[in-house]
Amino acid sequence: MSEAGAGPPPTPADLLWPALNFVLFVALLVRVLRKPIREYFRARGERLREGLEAGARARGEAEALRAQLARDIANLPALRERLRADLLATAQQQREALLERARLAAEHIKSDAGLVAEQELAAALHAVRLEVIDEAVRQATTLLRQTVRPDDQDRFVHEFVSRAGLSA
Amino acid sequence: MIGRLARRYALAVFDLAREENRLEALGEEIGRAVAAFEDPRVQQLLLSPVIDAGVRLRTTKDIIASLGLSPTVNNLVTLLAERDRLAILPGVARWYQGLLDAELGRVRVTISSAAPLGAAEKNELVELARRLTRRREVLASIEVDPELLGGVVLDTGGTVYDGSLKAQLARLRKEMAEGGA
Repeated sequence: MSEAGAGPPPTPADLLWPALNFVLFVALLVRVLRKPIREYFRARGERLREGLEAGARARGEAEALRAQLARDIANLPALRERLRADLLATAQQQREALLERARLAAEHIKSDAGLVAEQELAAALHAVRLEVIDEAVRQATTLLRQTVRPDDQDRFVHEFVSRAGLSA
Repeated sequence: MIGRLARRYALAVFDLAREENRLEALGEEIGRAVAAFEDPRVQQLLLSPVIDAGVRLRTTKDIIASLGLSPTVNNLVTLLAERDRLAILPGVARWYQGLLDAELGRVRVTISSAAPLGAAEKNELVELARRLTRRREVLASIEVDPELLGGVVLDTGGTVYDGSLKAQLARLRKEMAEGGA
């Protein structure tokens, strides 16, 4: 008596088709995915290589910086002396320039003061002169008011007529 | 502008007066009209903005009528009043007088003297003015101005001949002041 549900054992012919299907499936999978997978790994390798190179460069730069810092620290006293000397030289130049400028300004002020004094003196002299002239004219006017007589007036008229008549 | 306007009116009236052969008579009439309208009471009335323009014009016409002016001068003053230009009437009179003087070959001069002039001196000065202006007739008005100190000033209406001691002192003062500058 045979067991219920149990068939005869599969023959190689029965396994042939599933095997063939599997092989075709694998071949198709390989054909379709081979290129993207290869590209993925190539890109990943590239990124890794670049990362390594960048790391190497950064390390080199850090080394160079460290070396530079070490040199700078070693040169610090000399640098300080040089800066101090530069500052002193600049301060000296500024001092000389300021002194020269002050000297020129003092000369100008002195010269201007001289000119102003001369002008004020001239103006004062002119004002005094005008005052003297005005006073002389005032006195002459008073004198003329007191001394001009009618016959003088007649003479002035005759002289005026003679003079003006020449231009006629 | 007002001067040019007055000159235009004066020229128009002058032409009419020449046609009527009444140059001097019309000049005298214009002078009379100017005197009438220069009266402060009349001025106050005619220039008052609170008085109605019609009333002012009627008053002006009444004044003109009372002056007994010839039709030509009457028309001139009425026209100026109607156009609200009575203010230029003195200017018209001055221009007219100038035109009349030029027409008659006469000139108006002002003689300022420090003291009253004798007849001989006055004649000398009028004769001098005639020679200087080259006009036939000289109308001289004489003023006494003691501030001149001495001598005379002859104003021929544009040119002044100053022979006063005051002017000589002023010249002397200027020369002395400039000499020291």
